[in-house]
Amino acid sequence: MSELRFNELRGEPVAYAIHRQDRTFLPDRAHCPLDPTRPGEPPTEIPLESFEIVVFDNRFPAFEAPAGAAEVVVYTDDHDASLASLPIERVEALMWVWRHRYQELGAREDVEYVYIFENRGVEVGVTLHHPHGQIYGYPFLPPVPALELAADARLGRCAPCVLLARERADGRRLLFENDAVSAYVPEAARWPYEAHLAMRVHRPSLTDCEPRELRLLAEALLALVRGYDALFERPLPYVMAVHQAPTCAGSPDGHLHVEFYPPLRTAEKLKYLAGSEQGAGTFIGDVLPEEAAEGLREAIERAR
Amino acid sequence: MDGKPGPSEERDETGLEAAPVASRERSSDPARPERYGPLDVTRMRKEDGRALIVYSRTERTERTESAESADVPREHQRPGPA
Repeated sequence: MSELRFNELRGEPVAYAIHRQDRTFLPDRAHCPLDPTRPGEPPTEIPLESFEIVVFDNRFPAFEAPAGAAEVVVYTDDHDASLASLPIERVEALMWVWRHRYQELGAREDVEYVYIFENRGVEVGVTLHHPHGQIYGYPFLPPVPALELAADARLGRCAPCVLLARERADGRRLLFENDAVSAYVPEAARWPYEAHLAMRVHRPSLTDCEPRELRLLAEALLALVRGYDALFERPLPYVMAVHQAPTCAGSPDGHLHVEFYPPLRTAEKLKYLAGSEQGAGTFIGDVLPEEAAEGLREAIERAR
Repeated sequence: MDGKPGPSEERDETGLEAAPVASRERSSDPARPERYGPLDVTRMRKEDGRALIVYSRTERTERTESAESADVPREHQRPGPA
C-alpha cells in the first residue's frame, strides 16, 4: 500500500510506493510479462495465446483500492509493435477501452481523477518495451488537472476551448485537423516538440464523445505518433497524457485533450529538467514552438 | 465524495447500449462477454485476485486456460510489469 504525504512547500501530494523498487526492469525479449502465454511455457501476466487489448491491475501499483487504482493497458500481443504501428481499427478499439476504464474507474468512490497515459522509451523511464499504457485512478485531484481547472477560472471559460480558438486563429503552430480533432504545438510549449490533440467541440471526457469522434481521435493519434517517429527517423520517446474531466463528486468541467511530451530536442540530445526547471519551475526552451510545428508538419506529411 | 453518478446515471450521451458500469461486481464466468460499443468485454481474475479484462472486436480470442490462472503456481509466473 502506498503512503501519501503532502509537500507543504510545493503544495502538492507525494506518493511513496516503495514496493515498486522491485518491479520488473527491462527483462530480456524472451521474458516479457506482457507477451501472450505460449503453450508449454510459464504463463505471463496474460494467460492467453493471443489477444487484442488487455487491461489488468498493476502488480506493482502506485495506487490501489480502497485508495485509487493502477491498471496496465496492453495494446497488442505483438511485442515489437508500437502505438504508431497499430492499424487504425486497433487504435479505435483502444479509444473504447479508455472510455470504458474512465467510466468504470470514475464511478468508484475512491477515484477522483482517471489519468490515462503512456511512457514510451527508456528516456522517460519505460521498464517494459511491449507496447502498453497505464491508467492511474487517483484518490485525489492531482496538481496538473487542478492547474487546468484554475486556468478555466482565470480565463473565464474552458481554457482548452480558448487556447484552441487562439491556435486556430493564429495558424502558425497548427499541425493538422480532421472533422473532430485539432493538433497543434502550444504557444508556450514546455518540451521541444510538445504537441496537443484537442477535441474541437467541447467534450469533457471520452464518455461524451460520439462514436465517430472516437474514430477521428484515433486517426489523429496515429497521425501524430507516426509523424513523431518520422521526425528524427527513429522511435521517438514521449509521455502521452490524456486529460479529461475529474470524476469527483460535483466535479467541475474538463475538456478532453491529449498532450505529448517528447524529451528529445534533436535526434540524439535530451532536454533535461535541470536547475531552472526543477528549482525555479521555469522551462528554458531550445526550440521555438513555431519552428517545432514546421518540422512536425513536414514529418507528419512524410509519415502519411 | 458523495453524489457520484451511480451505475444507472452514468454519463453516456452516445445512445449506445448501457455500459457495464452497472455490473461493478465482476463476472466470474469469462465465457459470457459483455458488450461495450464495438467491443466484447471478458472479465477474469488472476491467481492473486487481480482483475484482468480482455477486449476484442471479434470472438476469435483464444484462452489457454479456464477462467482463472489459479492452477499456475506463483513461482512459475513471470514477474509483473511496471
